Amino acid sequence: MQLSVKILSLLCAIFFLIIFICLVRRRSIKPVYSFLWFLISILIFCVVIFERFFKWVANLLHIADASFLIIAGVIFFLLVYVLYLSIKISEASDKIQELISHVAILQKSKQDK
Amino acid sequence: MKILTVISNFNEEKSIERCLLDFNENATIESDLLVIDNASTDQSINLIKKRKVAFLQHPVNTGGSSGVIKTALLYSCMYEYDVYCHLDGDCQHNADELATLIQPIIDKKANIVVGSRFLHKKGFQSFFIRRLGIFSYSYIVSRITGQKITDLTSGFRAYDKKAIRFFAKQYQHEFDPCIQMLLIASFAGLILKEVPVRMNPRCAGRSEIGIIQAFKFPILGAMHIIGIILQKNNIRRLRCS
Repeated sequence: MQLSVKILSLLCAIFFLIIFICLVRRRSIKPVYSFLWFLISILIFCVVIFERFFKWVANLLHIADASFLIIAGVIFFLLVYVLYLSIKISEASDKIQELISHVAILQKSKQDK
Repeated sequence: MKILTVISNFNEEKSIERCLLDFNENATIESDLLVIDNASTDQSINLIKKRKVAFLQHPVNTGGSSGVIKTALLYSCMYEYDVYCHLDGDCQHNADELATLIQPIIDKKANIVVGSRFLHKKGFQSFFIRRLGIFSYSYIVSRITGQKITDLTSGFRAYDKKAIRFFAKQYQHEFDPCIQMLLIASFAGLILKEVPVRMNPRCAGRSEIGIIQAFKFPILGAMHIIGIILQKNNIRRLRCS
């Protein structure tokens, strides 16, 4: 890996780490959901620091370029995360519907009194 | 028998008054009337208030009619109604056919009754492309459930106490009342029945089934069928509990 790529990757990792810290501190995002960005920054750090290890894994899997391994890993990771978010959205929308119905009924019973 | 008739309303300012008038003058059953407004942005809610009709207002729009049905089922369950009838606020359904609609429930021959425009082929029959979609999916749903369904998109329906109690708990957000609901009802052991009714074309406004919906319907329909078949055993367990 070239030095410029390493620096760019490290900057990227630091950026995600700062975003993670800021979001959690501001309570804009729950720690569970921001965990992805924390993991991504750690992953990028690992790629830069343990470059040889990733090359070794890539050789083991007969992947010519170690960067493909990383890209494939990131795509898989993101897909799993999107699936997780889809489940959460489905659960949340059911709860919202339940709340909307209850609020409407309560409002009516309050007006009737 | 305690009966509730629900009229759903979403921006139906041009038709809601006619619909309420139709119910007051022509309803063939003794029933409480409740209008459920899905957070309309037009003048329809003021027109409902003027008529001094009981109404519920969703604080936010729930998208489509499924949210209104959920609220209606929950309300019917909470206030222990024996039958819940549903009419759309666009004057497509006739209040003078409510007695026909609930008759199978009174006779204890069905838990859910659907008013079908295709049984006697009277009144508004919808457009060709839509009819094709309805016929195809009605056939598939009939084959799966073993119960004859000809008009699965009909919103003119009646639910008995058993169906009300079941769906008040199981009805989820963005639940599809056409395919999903009928399949779940069938797997849960509820008896479906259709009765012939006349339907009118919308007297004003636009249908929620637009061009995008026309493309979405067959795709989502297939997804709903696959999803419900996969859930079949869980639904049967719900019936046991």
